[in-house]
Amino acid sequence: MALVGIDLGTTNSLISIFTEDGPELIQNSSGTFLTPSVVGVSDSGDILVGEAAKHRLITHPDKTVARFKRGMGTTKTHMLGKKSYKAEDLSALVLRALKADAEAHLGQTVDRAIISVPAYFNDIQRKATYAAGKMAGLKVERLINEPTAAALAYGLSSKEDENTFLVIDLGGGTFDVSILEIFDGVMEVRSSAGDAFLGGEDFTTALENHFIEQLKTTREKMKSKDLGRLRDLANKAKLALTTKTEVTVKYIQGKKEEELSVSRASFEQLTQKLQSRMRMPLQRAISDAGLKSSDIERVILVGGATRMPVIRSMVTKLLKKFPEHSLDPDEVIALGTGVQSGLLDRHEALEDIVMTDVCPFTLGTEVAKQIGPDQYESGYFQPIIERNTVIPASRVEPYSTLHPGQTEVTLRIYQGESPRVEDNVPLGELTLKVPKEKDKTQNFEVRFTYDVSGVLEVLVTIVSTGETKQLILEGNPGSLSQAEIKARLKELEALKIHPRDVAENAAVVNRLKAAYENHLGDIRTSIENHLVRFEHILTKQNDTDIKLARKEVTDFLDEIDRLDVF
Amino acid sequence: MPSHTPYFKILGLDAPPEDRKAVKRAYSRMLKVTRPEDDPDGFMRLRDAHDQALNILKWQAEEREWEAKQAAPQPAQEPAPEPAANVSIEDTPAPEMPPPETTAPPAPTLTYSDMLPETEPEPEVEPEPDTSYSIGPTPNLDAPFIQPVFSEPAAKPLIETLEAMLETPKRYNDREEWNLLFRKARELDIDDYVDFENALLESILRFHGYFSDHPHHDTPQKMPLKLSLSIAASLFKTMSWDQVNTRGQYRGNQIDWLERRMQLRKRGVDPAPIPQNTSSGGGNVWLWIFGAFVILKIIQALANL
Repeated sequence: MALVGIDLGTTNSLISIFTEDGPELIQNSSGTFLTPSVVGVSDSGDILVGEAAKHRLITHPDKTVARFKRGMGTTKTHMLGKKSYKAEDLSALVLRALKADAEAHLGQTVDRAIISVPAYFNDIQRKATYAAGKMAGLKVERLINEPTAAALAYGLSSKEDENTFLVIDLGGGTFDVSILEIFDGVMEVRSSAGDAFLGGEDFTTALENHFIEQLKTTREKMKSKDLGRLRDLANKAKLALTTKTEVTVKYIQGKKEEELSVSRASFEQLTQKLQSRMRMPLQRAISDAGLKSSDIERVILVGGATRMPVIRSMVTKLLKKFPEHSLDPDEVIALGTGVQSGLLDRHEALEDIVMTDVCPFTLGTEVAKQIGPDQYESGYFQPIIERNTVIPASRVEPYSTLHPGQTEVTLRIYQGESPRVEDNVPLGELTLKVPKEKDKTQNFEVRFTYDVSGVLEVLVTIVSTGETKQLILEGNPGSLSQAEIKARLKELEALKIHPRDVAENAAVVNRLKAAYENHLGDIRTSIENHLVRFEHILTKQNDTDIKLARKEVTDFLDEIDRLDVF
Repeated sequence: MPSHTPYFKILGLDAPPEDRKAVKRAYSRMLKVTRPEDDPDGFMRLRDAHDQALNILKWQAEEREWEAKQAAPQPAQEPAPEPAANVSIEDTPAPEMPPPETTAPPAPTLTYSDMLPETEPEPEVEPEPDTSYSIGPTPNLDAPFIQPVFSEPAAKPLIETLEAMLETPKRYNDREEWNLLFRKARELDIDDYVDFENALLESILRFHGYFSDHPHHDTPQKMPLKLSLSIAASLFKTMSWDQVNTRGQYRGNQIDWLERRMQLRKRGVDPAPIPQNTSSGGGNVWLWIFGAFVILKIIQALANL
């Protein structure tokens, strides 16, 4: 019965546990900490997760899904084979794979988890993450904001008594900024801001578009399989630009090999717009905390995408401070979720540490305003919990009905910063019956309670009767009801999933196939030889031989990957 | 715990705390036994007490400063320098000697120059109460600022460029000019960029008549277009003004107005046609400004009598 911490990322996911020696990451079946957040369906109809599925993005883009975290809490579905899946389902499958890895490592069942979410995830997205956890058979003890998790990982290594630091988290798909203050063992989040639709994947897309331009074609004209290969190349080129100033990749078009190139300077130019989108959340986090950028003592970079030199130089320029990245940016959030699990389980080593977080956005309802005698205009936003309020928080606002004799009120709940609700994010709607009194309007109170996991509860009290009504936000198109979650859980359990070791072999085979498509000439022949040999060894089912062969093939492919990009 | 328990008791203290540090220390000690995840209600009470304690300290500090200001008006006015309305804040000579007041702490002058090197009136940001009182002892600053002074050197040249651009339609509808402006703005650091953005919004608002009395102020979509639609749309995108999450309530109203003024969004039941005759619209503005000017002169003349 173990409690784990999970970083459910757009590109990769990780799982960790708190031990005597602090937070520890758990390896997956491929022997790495990073499990790609990719789900696919094999030719025989089995579900593939992680490394095994990732390589099929190139060979079978129609039967593989990635980057689905962006669709959390939306109605968007992905087709895999004959079945359609929501982002929650796919996330649940990733969570189940991680859970299996942890159980294999720990030798005991894992049934509770802390899952990290982008600070800027809204209520709907958070509930969707809860649902995904449930569908994976996990009790989600708490959601933790990603930059907060990162700060926890860093905070433990900070020896100073008082410190103000800013965490910049640019992950695969989301961008978060948080400002934290540490004093006397208290870690206090002062403010959070972010952009839920900005991440490393967008930088890859920018590069992909640049390559498509170089190929003198358009996205629409390309086959999805070719696009998959091109995206893979763009990603490799992006990673290579971290250490090189000029990168050229080879793309096979028909029988020809095209050379596509990009320099660090032109990459900087291509991503100018994305960079400037990072400015606003930074600015807001600083001003919301009541600080100037010069008050920030430490700047910490988190998330794989912050490896890009473009990002580092931009952050240095904006904040006039060199950012730190002493912990691996891919692993730090998962380590932080591990720390949080230690906190929750009251681990001795963490006795003197308390962490408080904030609600990063304003929550409120729609109200009507009087604009003249007997003239009202609806559509205004009445904040109840202001953004960057320390959580848990509970706030109450008095309301009244518009007209005497009114019997029903529709309360629409929104999240956002605009004075008009049409610009804010609708979270749900509820209808309330109020006692009818001919010549009197009815007063009622609306209480919002926002808990440590960032989930909102609404309580309405009618003043005249004292009647209270707790309301569950339902009826928005993206969220699943309890019954639906149960049904989905059953469905997912019925899916055939590759056994762990088989998955590992499948990953190697898929990677070989992907590499085959990406190369020509001698290398292609060599890859083919490896593939034939490896598949032959697999049929003999000798575990030791398979292990050796797997190692050999992986080394060979790593070598090829290095040759791929220059 | 009953609600009338004094806040310092909730913080585990016997008397009101002396300073911020004492509050923080008491808070962190209590927090270890009132963890937000275990005792949410207890934590919320503790947090309220913490906020209340800090607020009380802030009020007390303000009150002391206000009293100091009240007690020492005479010596402060003695230097009586020539009024210079356009002097920026840094140029203001600091009082040579501390006021001969015995009880008043000399804190205000210190906090002012230390904490606010580049304060300026910003219409959309509420002034911080604990700093606004520190202006007290320096008499020059009580003189009204006719023009906002952008004392931040990094953003200033950009705003000057912008103001020059806004003078001719050819320039303010030239996409290249805007591109160039924003390319330069992206070189600024965060603090400078905040200044730039605030100044930019103010300039654009003023340019569109937000600060003037205009018959169509409440229905700005009836006023003639100035920036071309495509430039206006790009401007909104670049500054993320089109994004909900960057708007505070204050700024939101201004941006809403601007959005209607620039006709980026039609709202309500008023599908106002674009006025054809721009010169009459422009004439109206000038008429109003002229009117306001005349009234001002009359008042001045009366006051001089």
